Amino acid sequence: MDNQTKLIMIAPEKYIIISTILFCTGLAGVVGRTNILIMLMSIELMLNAGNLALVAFSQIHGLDGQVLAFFVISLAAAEVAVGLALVTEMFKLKKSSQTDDLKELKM
Amino acid sequence: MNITEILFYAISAIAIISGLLVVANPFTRDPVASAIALVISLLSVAGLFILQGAFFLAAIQLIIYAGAVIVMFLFILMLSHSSAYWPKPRYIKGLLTVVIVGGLCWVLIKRLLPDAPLPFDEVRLTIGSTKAIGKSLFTDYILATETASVLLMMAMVGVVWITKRN
Amino acid sequence: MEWLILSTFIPPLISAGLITLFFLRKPVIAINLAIFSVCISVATTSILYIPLSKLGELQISLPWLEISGFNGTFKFHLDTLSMLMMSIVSTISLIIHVFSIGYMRGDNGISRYFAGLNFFTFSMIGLVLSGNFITIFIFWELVGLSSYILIGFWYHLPSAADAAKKAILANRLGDTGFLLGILMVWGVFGTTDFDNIQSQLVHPTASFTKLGNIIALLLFCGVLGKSAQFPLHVWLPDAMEGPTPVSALIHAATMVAAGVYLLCRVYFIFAAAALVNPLPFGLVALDVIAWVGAVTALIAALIAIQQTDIKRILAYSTLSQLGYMVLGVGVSDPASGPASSMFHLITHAFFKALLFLGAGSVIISLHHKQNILEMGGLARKLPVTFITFFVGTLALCGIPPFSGFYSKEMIIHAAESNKFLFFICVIVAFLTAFYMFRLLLLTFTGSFRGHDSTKIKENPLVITLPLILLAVPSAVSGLAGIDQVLIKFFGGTIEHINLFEKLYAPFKFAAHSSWWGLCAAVAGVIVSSFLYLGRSEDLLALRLKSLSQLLVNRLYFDEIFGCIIRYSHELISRTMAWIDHWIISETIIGSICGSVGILARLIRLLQTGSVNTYLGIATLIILIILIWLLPK
Repeated sequence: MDNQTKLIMIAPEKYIIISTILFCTGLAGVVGRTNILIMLMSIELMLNAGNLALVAFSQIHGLDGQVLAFFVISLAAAEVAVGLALVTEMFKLKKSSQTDDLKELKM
Repeated sequence: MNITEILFYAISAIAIISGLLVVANPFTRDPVASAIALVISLLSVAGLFILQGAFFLAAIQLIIYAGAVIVMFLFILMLSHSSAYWPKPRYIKGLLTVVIVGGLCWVLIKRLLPDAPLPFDEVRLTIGSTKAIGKSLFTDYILATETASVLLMMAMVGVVWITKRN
Repeated sequence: MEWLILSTFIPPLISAGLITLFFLRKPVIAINLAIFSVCISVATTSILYIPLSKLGELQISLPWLEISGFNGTFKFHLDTLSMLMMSIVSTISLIIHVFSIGYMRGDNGISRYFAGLNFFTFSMIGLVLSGNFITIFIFWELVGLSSYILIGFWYHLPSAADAAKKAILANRLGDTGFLLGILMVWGVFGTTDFDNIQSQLVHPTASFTKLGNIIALLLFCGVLGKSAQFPLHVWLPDAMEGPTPVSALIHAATMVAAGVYLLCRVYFIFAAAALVNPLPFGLVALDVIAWVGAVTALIAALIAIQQTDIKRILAYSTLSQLGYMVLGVGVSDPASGPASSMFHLITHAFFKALLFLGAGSVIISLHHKQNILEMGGLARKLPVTFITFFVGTLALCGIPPFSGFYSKEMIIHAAESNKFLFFICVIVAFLTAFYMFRLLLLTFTGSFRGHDSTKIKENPLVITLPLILLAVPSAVSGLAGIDQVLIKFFGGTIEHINLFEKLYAPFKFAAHSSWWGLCAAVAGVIVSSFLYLGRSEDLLALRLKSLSQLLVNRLYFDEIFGCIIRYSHELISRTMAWIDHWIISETIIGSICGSVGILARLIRLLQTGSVNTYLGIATLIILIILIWLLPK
């Protein structure tokens, strides 16, 4: 039997609110900043906010939320690895980290 | 007002402020500053996990996210730090960011949050210990676990292939 | 027995077809075939007298088209009226066929000419025999087509081609009204059959009470076109571009009379329309008909007194007499029907054909010259022509005992009800005598004013025999009792008087009109003789210079029509051009182009090429969907 730790819980709505704020911040970063690395960081922030929401709901529904959050973290790590590899290629080509310089698709 | 609540408000404040600093830093546009702010944000979120009883997940967050991912970011930042001179940040953009974020949040919360409070246990007895999560991972979600490991291997192969020199 | 009706008009059709298909280069065979087929028509007509007198009337129906509500059949109906008309058409047609052998000798298209004449005979007899509106309309158009073919016979002459076109156009204008009238008849009565309509009109329905006069006026439109009444009279003088026998057959004796025949055939509609709701100003259709006829008669007579082409004078004379006939229909008493108009139609057919053929004889002798100011003194050189022409002139002027007197007097007597119309009739009688004697005197008396008078001699028998054959009925048909037959057909009462009493019967029974008519005619003769006997130039033209010019130029009707058409056409096309340029091109198409352009430029703003912009737009849309579609 596990150690039964007693914890006083905060209402999950509050965690949802925090999650929303973090998510929107990350969204603003993705859309608003032009530095590719900061955009990737903002994406991490968004994923993080999603994890927070998942754990908040696992308060209600059991451990499944936390398991899913675990997978999200591992996926985020893989995604960052590939993304940074692509960023490296972009640096090799453009010698710049601004998305303003990625204009090949403009007519 | 118990300690849990105080801790909650403090840690969430830190998380939000550092999140904003990632996106719109009023002092500099240096991405390294953003990376440091991201670390702080991730740490705060780990703290929030602990407050909810998700101990295993908090540890994973610290090890993988704040440990490996950010370090990768910093590596690439250092490798590509092209100019030492960053232009002054534009304040109007920061203000706009805050306004938009605030508005968006307000809309989303109003729209998506249910009116009735969600049911939860005031005092939690089952927690997210390593044992419990590990048991769940390797019995109920074994397929997902194995698939995740394959995915990580694919990511490795992919990274090597993308950055290969011919 | 009924199939005999068909054999009156089908043989000329077959013959026309055969000539066109096989014998266009074999004129001898063509001529013989043509005359043979018309002889069959005449023979069949005569044979049909016997069953007709026994049975009273014969009918034959050929079903054609049966759609729901519309029952189209070809119905041919032989009664006294159509028998009279058919006899005239077939005999005059035969006479003119014979005359044409001599007139058209040497012409290259003579086979085509005889095919056309046969086709016309077929259409005209078919029209006369029609028993319902559909049949009569089809043959109406066929007669118009034959007229086009024959007027434009010398198609390489632009004036002939234009005249044929003008004839068809004027006819078409009239036929539009006619067709509308037929449609209204069908709508009001549910059938187009003459007998059926006549029996329905005993108790007129409510719709007929409202529309009766309108229907009558629309049917009269067809007469306006075919019988060349004012204002569609402009085609008849130009139709003289065709060969003279064509003018004699079509534009004097038969086709132009088709309109008057129609009026008499469906007179019951007009009689019933006179009893129902009138048109504005209290007019009924018969009043309008009478006045249109009067105006036509007067205008044509005025124009005729200053024309110099022999055929034109006769054409305007035809117009004037047609006006008389239409006037006669308009003023006729419903109890006795338009017997006067039909009587005048029959006598007019004879003497007008005679006059035209006589003119043809003169034209041939002078080698196709037609200006009367260059003729003169032909009485000695062309004696037979002169005598027959003189008989025809007397008949036309209405001098007793020739036929024209009796028929004209009947019309003038009917016109006594309206003082104005009576006055116009008398004036036209005066003018008729005046211009006909002018024609006669200038052509046949005095000395020859042309170039070469030695070669002029009388024409061979093939030309003069028809003249003699037509002169006989012109002289005596007034006394043959046709008017009695007609009055009895239309439901009036007659008295039986013997031949000798018929001579002076008008003076006894209708003294007022007959004395006025006779005096007007004699006055015209006297004035004309005074001005033209033995003279060599036209005194009237010299004395009334501008008035004469007005009349010579036919009161400028063609010019007025041309102006109206040209200006209205130009107005319409300019308006359309304006609409096309400013409204359709600029406004509608311009706005479509412009808005597409603006829309394109707006959308192009999205293509910034910046990753952030694309991300932003995608996020926006997802958020919108999220916020809108998720429930609370």
